Amino acid sequence: MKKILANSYIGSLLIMLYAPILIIIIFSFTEAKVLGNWTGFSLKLYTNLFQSGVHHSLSSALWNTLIIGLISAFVSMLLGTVAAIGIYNLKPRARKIVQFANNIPILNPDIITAISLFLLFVSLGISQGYTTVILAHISFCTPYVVLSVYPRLRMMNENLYEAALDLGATPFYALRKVLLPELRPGMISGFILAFTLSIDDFVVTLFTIGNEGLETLSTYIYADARKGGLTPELRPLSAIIFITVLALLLVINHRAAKREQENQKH
Amino acid sequence: MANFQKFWNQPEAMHTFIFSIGVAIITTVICLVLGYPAAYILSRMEAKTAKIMVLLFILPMWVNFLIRTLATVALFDFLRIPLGQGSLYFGMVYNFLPFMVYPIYNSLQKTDKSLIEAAQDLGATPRQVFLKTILPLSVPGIASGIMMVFMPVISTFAIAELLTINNIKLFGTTLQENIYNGMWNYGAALSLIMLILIGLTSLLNAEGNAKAAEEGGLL
Amino acid sequence: MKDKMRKNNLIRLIQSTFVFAALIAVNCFSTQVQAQERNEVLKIYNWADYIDEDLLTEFPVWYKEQTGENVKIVFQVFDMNEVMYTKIAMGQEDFDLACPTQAVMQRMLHNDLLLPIDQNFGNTPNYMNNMSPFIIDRLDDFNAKGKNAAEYAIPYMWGVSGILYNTEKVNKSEMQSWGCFWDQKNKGKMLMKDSYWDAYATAAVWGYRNEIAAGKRSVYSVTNDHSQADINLVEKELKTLKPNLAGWEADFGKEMMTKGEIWFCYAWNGDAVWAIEEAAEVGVNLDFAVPSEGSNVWFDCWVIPKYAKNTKAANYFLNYICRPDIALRNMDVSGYCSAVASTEILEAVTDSTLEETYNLSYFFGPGNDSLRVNPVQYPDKSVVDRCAIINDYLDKNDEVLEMWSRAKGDNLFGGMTFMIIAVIVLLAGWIILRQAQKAKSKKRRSGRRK
Repeated sequence: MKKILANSYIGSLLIMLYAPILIIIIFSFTEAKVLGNWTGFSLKLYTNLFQSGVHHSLSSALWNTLIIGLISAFVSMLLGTVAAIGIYNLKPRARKIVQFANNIPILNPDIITAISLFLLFVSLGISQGYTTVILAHISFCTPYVVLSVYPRLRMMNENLYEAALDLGATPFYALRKVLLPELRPGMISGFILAFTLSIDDFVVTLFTIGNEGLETLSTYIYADARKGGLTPELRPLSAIIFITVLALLLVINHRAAKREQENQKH
Repeated sequence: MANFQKFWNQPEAMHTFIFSIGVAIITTVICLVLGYPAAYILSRMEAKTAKIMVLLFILPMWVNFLIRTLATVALFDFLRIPLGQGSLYFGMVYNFLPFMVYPIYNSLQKTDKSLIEAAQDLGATPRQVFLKTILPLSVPGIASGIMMVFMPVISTFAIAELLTINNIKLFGTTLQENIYNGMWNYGAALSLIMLILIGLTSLLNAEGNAKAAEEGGLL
Repeated sequence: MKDKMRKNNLIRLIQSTFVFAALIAVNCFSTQVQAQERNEVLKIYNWADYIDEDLLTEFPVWYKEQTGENVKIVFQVFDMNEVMYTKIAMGQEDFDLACPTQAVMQRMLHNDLLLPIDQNFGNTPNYMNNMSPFIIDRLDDFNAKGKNAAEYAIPYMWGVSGILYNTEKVNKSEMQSWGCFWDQKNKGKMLMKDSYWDAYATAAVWGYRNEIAAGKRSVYSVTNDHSQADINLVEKELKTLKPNLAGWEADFGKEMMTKGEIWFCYAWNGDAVWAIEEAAEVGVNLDFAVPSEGSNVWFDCWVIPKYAKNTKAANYFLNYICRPDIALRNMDVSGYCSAVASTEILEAVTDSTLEETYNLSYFFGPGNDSLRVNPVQYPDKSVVDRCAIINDYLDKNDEVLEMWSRAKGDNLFGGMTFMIIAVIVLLAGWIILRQAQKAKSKKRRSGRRK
């Protein structure tokens, strides 16, 4: 009984979260330029997407978004984990200060972060483009990784690491075999969080994107929305991305579950 | 200093700031109320299902923010609900709920099961187990969650702009207007004020929470 | 353990610093490589969907024919004037061409951010003479500090502002006056643009409508004087307007119109053309009107920012887009009206199936007073006569901005303040409680030790 209640609670939350996405998917099957108008069922937007030449810069924007997201998420995951370990080992007073410093990028409005990074890069003379965007994304994603990993550290049993050292492991070995596995869930969730933030970010990207024609999905969409209304082809694009990731997720889960079952059998 | 004085003298900016804090508080509370049970239920599930479910919470955020928000507008149109305060809170919670669920889930999941068992063995009722053991242990996660929701809500302007057709003005809008229209110094001063005030509160809060985690849980 | 962990951290930190340094070094190196070819690159900064993208590959071919030099176009889009201005003014970005709206162009000219346009094209014909004198004359308004604006900007697309309305929900006659925005019976059914230029101009024209009708003030002076009395009146009007509005739309007003819930909204005629078409597909009938009290004319123009590095290609590009066939293609893609006024364009926009004729001699030259064109896209002379161009606020910018935020008002209400105070009190109480507990347990502990 309790389980049914619990599951339906989660279910209803998920329905609320996915209702707008469902709308996007439904309206990707119509040609209307405005989201919300229905002019009859049609697959034209999907075919437009796959025809090259209709929106050739859209695919490069998508590609850029993915690369920037993956790189910044990965680097911030490393940096954030290291930082979390470091913070954990500080004395309480220093720890509080560093924690506050860590939280500043989260607390700051993103437009302030954007402009300050922009001015920073200008004054350093770094020509803006891929590098600056990635650096900027790393700098605002890392605090989120720290916030994901740090609670894990607090909950972890300190003695495990010392026990490993006592048993003769080198610090690096202990790090790899004891500490990181403990932290891995936090690191992975930090990675996913950082990736999510990076691909959706707009203002920071806008100001660090330089003048070489670099575009990410966000800047492309916003620029489009201003002049001509949101490109209708974005609806099938979002639908496709979404369904692909969902399918990937389910497949990975299925295979992992299968592998576990096999392991259990042996 | 002139910029700070300007802020002080402009009741409108002050009111917007206070209003945004209010919106942020309400949003954070709603996210907490909705998110904590969700995280709790998820932490009780099997690891495999739980992982997928948590990712399902994050997945909507991978659809671009603008499209998502426009779809929310379309949703409200479809349900014939007029845009306004209700849609604002829906939009805010919609965008920030995953940020609340994630940290709480993480810290709940890491809770040492033996502590819970110990509490139960010592004769605590399920309610006591929850209030005295599980809840305090999850406080770091709650603290993270609140931090990731409260401040960004104050500085988001796009949600207010799109979901209330700019009727409701949040502090983020003020900030954006000033910076974009050339009043950089004033905008910077505004954000500094915000940072100081909220930073102070979060510092105090974090200290309180850290103490709670140490005392409430492991003694 | 902690010492060893710290050592690991140090190593990791050093490693990451190296990575960053390497990234920066690589970046600097790559820019050196690019700098060699900078004069073969043309960097264009434009709005999205505002130019035919095929031109970006055709121009280099034309340029090679005309000058024998190679050029590659790098195209960057921006979504707001302010972002473009910030990047150029604060970031000294080396764009060769940018496309600001006229008020922002004036601000740039005033702040010395533009380079003059060089019309020496050698053997290449000068297409810039195709510009309609109507628009070129307007440029004189923007002369600043002895600089002739016509030498610094090439108008690109132009239009007028007015009201886009749903013919089934409101009367055409009502829409001939801005008063419909202030009319109580339309409460909650209309949108105004969230732009302090458009809102100011509208409120000013409405506020001074009697003076304008009596001939005491012109639409131009009302829109652009920005005297203290003007600003106060505008504030008053906007404050009365605000409760009547459904909202201040930024980009999606025309889309909301096609859905039929909003009855009318402030719109530019280019957007109106798009909206009328799109709404017709869903069965909603829209039309566009420019109120009789007056309105404003706007145009986007191309400029060469101060930090441009390839002015030669920039000038040739400006010449290229003034060619009538190119202008026509850009018009098709963007949906707006080009500032170029030549016979080819005239032929292309004339629609012989239309019944009414309109006087467009102000634009296409004398003898063109009965043309069959879409009046929404090409307004009749009577419309344009009552429109003024919006100038930038320049020195009065801060004041107007303050007025604007005052007028848009705040939403704070009693209940919200009360709740916030309650939360703060609760939090303070909780923290004090915690401190008291901490002190008590410390005392207890120290007591136990004894």
